Amino acid sequence: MQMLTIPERAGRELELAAKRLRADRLSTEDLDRTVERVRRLAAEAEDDADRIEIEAAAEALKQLPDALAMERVCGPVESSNVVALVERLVAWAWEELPTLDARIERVRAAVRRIEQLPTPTIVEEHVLRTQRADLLDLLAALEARKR
Amino acid sequence: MTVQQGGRDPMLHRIVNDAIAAGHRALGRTGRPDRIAVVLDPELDRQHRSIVVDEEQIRLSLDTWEALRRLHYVGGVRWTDLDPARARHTSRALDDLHAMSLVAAAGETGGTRCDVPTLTGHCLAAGVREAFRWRTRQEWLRDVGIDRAAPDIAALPCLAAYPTAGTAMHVLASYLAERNGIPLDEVLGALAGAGDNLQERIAHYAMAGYDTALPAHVERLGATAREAAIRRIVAPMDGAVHARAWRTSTTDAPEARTRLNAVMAAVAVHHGVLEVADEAGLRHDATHGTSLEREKAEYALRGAYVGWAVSSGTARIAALAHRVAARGAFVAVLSRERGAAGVRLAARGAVSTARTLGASAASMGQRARRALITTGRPLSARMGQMHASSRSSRQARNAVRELVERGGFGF
Repeated sequence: MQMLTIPERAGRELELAAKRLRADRLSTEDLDRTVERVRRLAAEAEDDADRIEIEAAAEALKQLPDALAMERVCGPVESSNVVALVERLVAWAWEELPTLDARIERVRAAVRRIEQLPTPTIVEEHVLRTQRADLLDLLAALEARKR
Repeated sequence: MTVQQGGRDPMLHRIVNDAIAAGHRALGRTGRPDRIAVVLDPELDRQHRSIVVDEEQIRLSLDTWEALRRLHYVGGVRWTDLDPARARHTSRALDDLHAMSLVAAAGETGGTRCDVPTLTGHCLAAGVREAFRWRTRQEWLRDVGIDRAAPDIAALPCLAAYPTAGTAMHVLASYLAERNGIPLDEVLGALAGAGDNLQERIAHYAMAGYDTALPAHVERLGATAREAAIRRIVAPMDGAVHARAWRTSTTDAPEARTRLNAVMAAVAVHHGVLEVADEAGLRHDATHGTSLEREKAEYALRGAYVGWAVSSGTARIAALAHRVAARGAFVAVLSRERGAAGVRLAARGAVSTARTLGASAASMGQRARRALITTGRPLSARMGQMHASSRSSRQARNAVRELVERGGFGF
């Protein structure tokens, strides 16, 4: 069987820890011990790039619980076409245009388009409603500036 | 029901003001905030809005109020069993109330404003509040007593409202916390309560995380130079907090690349700090003879690895390509600075990366391979630089050849 290189050993530690964290089978103490093992591997690396990457692996390990918690909130909308469209429309609505009237018309158009999007799921709807409300605030601010 | 009739409901005042007080405490503020008038506004229902924070009052839609009041109808009812749709509806209203409590506690106005911020300014503020909300939701629910009134609803998952901005600011705050050696929640709380000074506070944390003398140095610069330094540090976040920077086409499929973008933006923030420190004569590694370029390449390599490690799904392929490209950039710098010896070391590193890439590429589908090739293309440019500057280019060329062959694609 081929011997694993030091970077491969570090990568394997990272993968294994991620799997165990996802399954909720890695305690804080286990995680700290894994981070220490990876740091020792970094000290053994001869190549500068390998050392930097293995040190980064130790850092990534420390951040994994937070990253996974964030993934649980954002996971359901990360690959959503509706959310992607809403965010694109919001960015489009905020574009700088030569006149205030043009900006107001652009924001109104973006709000209309968001309202015409296909029926979202409850998690998508939360994004859609919140960001549409922000556009209504922007519209009100632009109209106030016009007055 | 009119606005005035709704305004007389004492429970409405209590729930909303308790929520604001809990938001106030979550931001680390002491004392109880002034009570604020709360009214029900049917106009918000017509606009499909839930809560609006104005200068002197908070307006709630009837729909939101109904969803919140449900929590206190009868003790011990498990809404998730009785009516799951209504339970989710109430959970969403709680998410809105939590976000509003942070806006109100930070002294911001979520409603109509005459001064219009930029998209980036808006997304930075919304993103940091969102990331803070994700982190503190359970604590806030406990503080306002929802865990006792409706534990089943309190256990429902938190809903994201700004997935791109929230993720980007979570990643940036993680970077700032790690550099400053302080807890992530402390950084997020400080940023969420920064109000109009958010960009200055981000820059302050970024600079202090590098050298505590750097913020004081920048503070002593003239107003224009100080603003330019802050802008240079914060500007990379423009490309991570909203969709404009990377979701350019209406036909490209959404990909879970937000985290990778955010990590790369945090790397660019660090590069900005290094540049500012270099100009101020405060760059640490300069005293050991390390060039700014090398220090930036090292941090980019580190960031690319972290980006790869925290990515999942198809985003991991793009992240792997970034990692290879960062390694290529590092190789180019080493080869320029160390001559032949540097190239030998770098070539070994390139082979090691090629092995990783080859193993990953072997199991990739066609779409994933295309993503890898597109994102990994900068590697060829970096390797080209290395060839041009290296006296021992044969070894480097061999490393590239091996990388290409093992990866199974041609740049």
